[in-house]
Amino acid sequence: MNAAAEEGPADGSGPADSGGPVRVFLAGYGTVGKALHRILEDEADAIAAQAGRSIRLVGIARNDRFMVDPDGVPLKEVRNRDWATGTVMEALGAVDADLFLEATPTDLETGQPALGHCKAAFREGMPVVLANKGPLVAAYDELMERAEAAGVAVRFEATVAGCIPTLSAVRESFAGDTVERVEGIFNGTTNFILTRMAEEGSDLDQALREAQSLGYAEADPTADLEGHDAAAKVVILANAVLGRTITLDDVAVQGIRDVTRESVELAKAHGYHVKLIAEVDRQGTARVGPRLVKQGSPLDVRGALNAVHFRTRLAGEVTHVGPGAGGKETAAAMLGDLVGLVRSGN
Amino acid sequence: MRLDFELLLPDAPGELAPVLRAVADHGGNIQSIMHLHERAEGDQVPVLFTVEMQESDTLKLLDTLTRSHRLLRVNHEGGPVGTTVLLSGHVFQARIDRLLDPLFDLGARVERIDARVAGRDKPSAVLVRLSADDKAAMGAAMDALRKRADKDGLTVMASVEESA
Repeated sequence: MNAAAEEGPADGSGPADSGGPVRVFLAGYGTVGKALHRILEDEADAIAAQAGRSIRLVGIARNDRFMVDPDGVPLKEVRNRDWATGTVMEALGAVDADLFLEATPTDLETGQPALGHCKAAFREGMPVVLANKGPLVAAYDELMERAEAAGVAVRFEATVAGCIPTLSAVRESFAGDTVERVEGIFNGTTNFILTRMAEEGSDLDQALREAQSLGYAEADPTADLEGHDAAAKVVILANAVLGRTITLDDVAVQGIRDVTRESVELAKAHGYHVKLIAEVDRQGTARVGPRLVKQGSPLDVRGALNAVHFRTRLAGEVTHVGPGAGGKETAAAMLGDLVGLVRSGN
Repeated sequence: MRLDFELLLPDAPGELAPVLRAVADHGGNIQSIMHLHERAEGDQVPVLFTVEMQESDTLKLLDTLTRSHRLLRVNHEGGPVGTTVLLSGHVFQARIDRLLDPLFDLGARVERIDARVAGRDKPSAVLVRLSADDKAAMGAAMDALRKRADKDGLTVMASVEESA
């Protein structure tokens, strides 16, 4: 598949419309999961007004432990209450939920454990919202076929460029148009590092340490620096937007480890900035690598920002810019998918 | 076809209007306008226009514009093209002449080379400005450059906007 499951079945696909609140289950309680929990609580009234129904978080799972409450798990109780021991599958058996939120750590090779979580959710008839790229990169077709067979929708806006409208733009804003090509800056960590190298004259290691101290880079930055994170997003876009069936092995990937301070300075002196650019089109291009972008051009975004440039048959060239990562920002993208599904279910 | 051109314009309100009118009069459709402030000359700023229009009308448009403005650069599909590429790594040990010779054979020209060399055993950075008679020749030259650079373990950073 195919765009159909990402869109959701034609007969309306959202969570069961049983009246009352929509009950959601959250797997993964790291930075993104906690941010989403806080948003669901702090913005409950506004979300209910926009979704048409209130949303109740009835279960949370992390690291083979879980907490469920049919009346809702209050944020302030997460630390005080005892967590039960058990898998996500066992947790799903302990509480009734209408919709599944997947925000566990990503494994791009196997897609697990998130892939198993999604399959379990489908078996329970639950639509799924993912922030985890793993299942989409490792087993896109299988995931979509299972969702289609179960008659439920899968949404994953948070997996590509955080809260920048990317998949939803294709689904809604470019509906009827044809997206021919997508390119851009899909990794905020490397963009932060390259920006600091250009603006401060830092070398890569200095800029990396600064990124880590500010929380923009992981303790192990390999996936970002080697371009694997951006490549995963290329795979998702190719499969979900451009009608191609590719895996990580089909993406030509070069990271930024060999980008030197001298390279960045020389580019800057000639009116360019070095950026890690991801590109994918319908003709066979799928690559990630350092490129020159003209200073002041739409892709010349600073710091940890991302930029997504669409080339479409009718609308022409459109660029979206915004935060591509961060707990609150990624949670906001999940919330957008969640509210969209609740609306469609109504 | 797509036509890119740079004009030097006063950085003041209303200066774009006559250019836009001329483009419209010649059947052009503006795709983008970019003020290149980093290259401003006093109160004059280069402005890059990208226009979609019939090839047969491009010369008439450029003739109109050059009567009232200073034209800095023109690039149109089917005509001469230029691109910039940055090479990073042990470029001089790899012998830059070996990197560039195949490009000349394919009809590309080297307009400019600039380099930063941090030290004898450290990676260097070399920026090369290339031109060719058309996109096909440039594409072939860039493919040859990438292959050669890959063999020599160099990182090739080509321009996104001038991709070939």
